[in-house]
Amino acid sequence: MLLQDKVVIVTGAAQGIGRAHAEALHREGAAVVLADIQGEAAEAEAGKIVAAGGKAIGVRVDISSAAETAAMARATVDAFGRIDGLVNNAAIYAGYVHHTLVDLPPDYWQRFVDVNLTGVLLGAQAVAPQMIEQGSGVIVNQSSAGADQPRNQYSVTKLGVQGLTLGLARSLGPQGVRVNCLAPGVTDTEATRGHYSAEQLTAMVEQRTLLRKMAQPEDVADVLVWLVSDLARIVTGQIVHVDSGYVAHPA
Amino acid sequence: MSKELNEKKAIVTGADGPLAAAAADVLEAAGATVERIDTGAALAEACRGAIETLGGVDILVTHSSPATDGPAAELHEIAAGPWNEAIDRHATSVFTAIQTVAPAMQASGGGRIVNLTTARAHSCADQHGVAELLVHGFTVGFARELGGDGVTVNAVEVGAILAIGDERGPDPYPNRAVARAGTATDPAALVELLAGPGGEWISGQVFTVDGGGWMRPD
Repeated sequence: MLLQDKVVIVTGAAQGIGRAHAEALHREGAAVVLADIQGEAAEAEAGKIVAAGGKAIGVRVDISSAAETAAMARATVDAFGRIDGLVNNAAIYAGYVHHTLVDLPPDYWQRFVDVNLTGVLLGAQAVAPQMIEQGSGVIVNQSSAGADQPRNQYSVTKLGVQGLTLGLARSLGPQGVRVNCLAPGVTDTEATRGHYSAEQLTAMVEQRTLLRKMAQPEDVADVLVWLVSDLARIVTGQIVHVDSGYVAHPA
Repeated sequence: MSKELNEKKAIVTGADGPLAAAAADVLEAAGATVERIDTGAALAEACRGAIETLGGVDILVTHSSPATDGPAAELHEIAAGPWNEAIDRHATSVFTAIQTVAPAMQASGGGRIVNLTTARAHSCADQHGVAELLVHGFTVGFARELGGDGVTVNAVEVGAILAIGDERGPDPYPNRAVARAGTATDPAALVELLAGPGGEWISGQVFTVDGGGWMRPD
């Protein structure tokens, strides 16, 4: 197992890619803190890991609140004594409205900044003091293949997440903390299927990916395991595209 | 005498900063009428007022001067106030200016938008860099949306010494390919090209103007 005795927080862990992250981290031996704005769902998912013999807790967090991300970090240290990893996966994605930029309401833009961008920063700030004290830690921020060709407020904020990754990797690197970014492409989740019809998804996969394959959440989670593990001990400040070759294959 | 930008109407934001001031000067020298708006102005109102004064708009150059920025902070320590201020000043302001100006350009059958950013967007070492990276995202997004109406959108990312408005000190990047520090007028020729008729088929690009400080092979 690659993550024996590691303690890792996953935000947005109650569903989709975040849940797959939590399951993969558990499979590799980590104790997992499943954090989600849907606290009960997070606790239910944590309960499944515990029932399978693993270590996990569920906590409610609104990542746009510094007080709540700080409480998430405290709950982790209280339960497991340290923080080895943070996966900043939570974001506004499911059901978001596809405005054009010209018609995007300013309040809606600010909401995406507060959650998808500032939420990632607040997560990192919440765990940084503990990781600095330990002299080690890994933060993985989740971006999107869409950030390479931003179309709307979602992909613009996901580009910002890549910038935050570089900046945090710079400021935390000398203290032994690695910061990297996962950029998934078309991934088979309930949220993605809510945004696109089956026909649209097939067309995107056929026309835009080199592997002609939609990623499953588990495909993304396996790369996350590598980034969190000591196998990636010399990797920081990187954007890792996990997207069937979507970005490598501009339409 | 016929000049390239005769009868063109331009709005330049952040014109209190040396970069945008130099851009405004070059547009004027090429014949454009320019309305200058300072960093920190309420941009939706100011842009609407400028369009009214000009009787339309053909060119928008956006910028937010770094000269009046708060101090750069390490991202793992930055407080909410300076973080939010940087996003407002450098990213949301550009979004607001383009949102306000674009419909007038679309209605008149075309336009040119040039977003002036700094090399801080490249390293993202502080809050201002991350905010300016968002501008590069808006550049691509708006370029896609507005291209069908003849509006091009590009960004010019300018090297570090210009970002602090200090053109007298030593070059902080001795490894620059072109062995001198930059001045505020170095990017002006590119701004003029992108704002003029020669920019018609150039859109969604981020151009780095930094004397070869950071070079890319692809």
